[in-house]
Amino acid sequence: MKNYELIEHTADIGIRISGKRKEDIFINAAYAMLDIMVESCAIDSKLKHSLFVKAADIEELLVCFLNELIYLFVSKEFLPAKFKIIKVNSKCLSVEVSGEKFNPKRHKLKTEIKAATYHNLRIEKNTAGYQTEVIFDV
Amino acid sequence: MAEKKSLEKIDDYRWRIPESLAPGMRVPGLVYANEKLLQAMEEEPLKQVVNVAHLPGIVNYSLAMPDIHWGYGFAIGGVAAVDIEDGVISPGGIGYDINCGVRMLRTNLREKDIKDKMRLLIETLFSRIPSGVGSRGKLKLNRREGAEVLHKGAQWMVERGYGTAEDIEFTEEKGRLAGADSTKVSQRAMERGAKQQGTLGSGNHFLEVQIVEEIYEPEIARVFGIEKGAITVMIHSGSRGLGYQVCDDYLRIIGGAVHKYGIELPDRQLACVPINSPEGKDYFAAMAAAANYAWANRQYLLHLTREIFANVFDATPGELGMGLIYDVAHNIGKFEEHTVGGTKKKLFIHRKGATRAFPPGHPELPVRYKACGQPVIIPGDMGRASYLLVGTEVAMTETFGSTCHGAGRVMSRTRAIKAAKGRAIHQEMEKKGVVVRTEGRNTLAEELPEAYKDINDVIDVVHQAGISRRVAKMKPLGVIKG
Repeated sequence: MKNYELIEHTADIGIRISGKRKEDIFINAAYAMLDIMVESCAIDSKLKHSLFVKAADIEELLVCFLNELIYLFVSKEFLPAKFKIIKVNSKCLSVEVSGEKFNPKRHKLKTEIKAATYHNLRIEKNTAGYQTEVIFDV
Repeated sequence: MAEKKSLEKIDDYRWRIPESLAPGMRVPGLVYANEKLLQAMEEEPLKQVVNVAHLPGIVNYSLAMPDIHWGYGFAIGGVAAVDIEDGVISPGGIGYDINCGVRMLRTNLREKDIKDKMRLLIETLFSRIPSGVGSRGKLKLNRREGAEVLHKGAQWMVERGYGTAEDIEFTEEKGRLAGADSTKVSQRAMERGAKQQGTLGSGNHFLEVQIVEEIYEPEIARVFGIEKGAITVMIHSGSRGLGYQVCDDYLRIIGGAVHKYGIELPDRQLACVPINSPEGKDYFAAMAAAANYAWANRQYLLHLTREIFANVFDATPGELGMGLIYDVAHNIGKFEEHTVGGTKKKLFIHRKGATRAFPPGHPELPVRYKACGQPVIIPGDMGRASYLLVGTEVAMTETFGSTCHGAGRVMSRTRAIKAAKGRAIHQEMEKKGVVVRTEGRNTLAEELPEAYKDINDVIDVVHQAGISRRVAKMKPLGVIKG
């Protein structure tokens, strides 16, 4: 089930995400990023990480959340599988992320994402819910 | 968007975007391109040139090189010089891969010497130089050593025996940007960097074995130590995870301070603060540290390359004549002296996807290159060619001593993957006489030669416009990519 579409961007990769609730934007963006980073495969959810992110506004919150996941992946080799949002408002996000340690035998890496960028970032609210675009530097 | 329509032709290679196009522009845009490149150009990078012209303190022009393409915030292939008194520093104007750059080394080998060993050479390079997503370096640095690298750059590697004094002499800034402070680099950035020192990386990073196909300026080529038919090596890499994290950390810090300084910007990714502000100074110190990490990284990769050549050809690097021609940064910010309106001024130059191209006689040049100018190394795509150029006086007066940095993408990665579907890119490359080894599954498709502009067009523009001059053209023989 794909909750995002890829945006044609010359040098980098972008995603367009939408969701009924604010929470969906965060979760769908995380899954989209994961799809860009690794080949689709089964990821166990036996390890848990609690993330707490604070930011000046909801856009920054989204970028920080995604970059937090990149950091966890690169430094702790933690590959997320599921996200449970405990709390979200426009300035803070609390998520329980479950996943497992990266295992090169089972997980195939696809693209190295350097970071999620702030380029033209705006989370918009419309009648159907929320939508936004994120450009990643790859 | 009307950026393309608004372009005013100055001559066949220069186009102006008038200041009147958008209300907040402080200077005009100046785009180096020919008709062909311009026609293929998208609106977005031009819009980004316009956005950069909004930066407080920007001097003369928001500059775009012919390899310009759509980036985030700043276009890739841009130069922005700002006044240090009232100008700003912007992490987005340097990019996530701080001091991504290229180094080129000569050898005294000829095609006949490597013909039978090419496959072995590429296999050995591929197996011994860590590359690809998630690769780990063999160099294990403790915390203290990690911090030392950030202060000393390539010089740290040479002190440890991974290179020679000559390597330092022939590296931009002697491989060590002054003003670095490791205490301004976050623990996270240090952590990301610790495991990746001495790795090539992925995406467009590569190590390429080449042959000099053509010499345009024999005198200068002689000074650079190359001639037609010689085998050369090019290494393209940067500051790895450490640099990405530094950029991300400071985008956040600086993004939060923009309003404090009353700065209005058309795109959040352009976040900037006055150079002399505490946030600006801290970012510079951390950026310089990341730049030094990158120079150390390329120095170690050079060391590995020499070891591998020595093994494969059963001779010492000295016997193989493996000297460094030069090392250039193409994502960096630096304090430099330039002449503005007839007077010498200290400026801060953002180069994002642009290469320094200093002219003959510049005090920053090593003695050997003083009379001819700075070597400028421009990699092309893996199928066509790369170039060695030389810096000029025109660059000094027009572009703050800068020129292009590569071919520049024309196709998105997803489009390139689609274009490569059903094709055996490996074999296509072999037919062209290029042996390729890649780590990532999609790398070969994403890096398809036609995903890039024709490097020959890009070089023609910078050469004809005079912001650097062609010295030699190299053809790829073997490539390893992440």
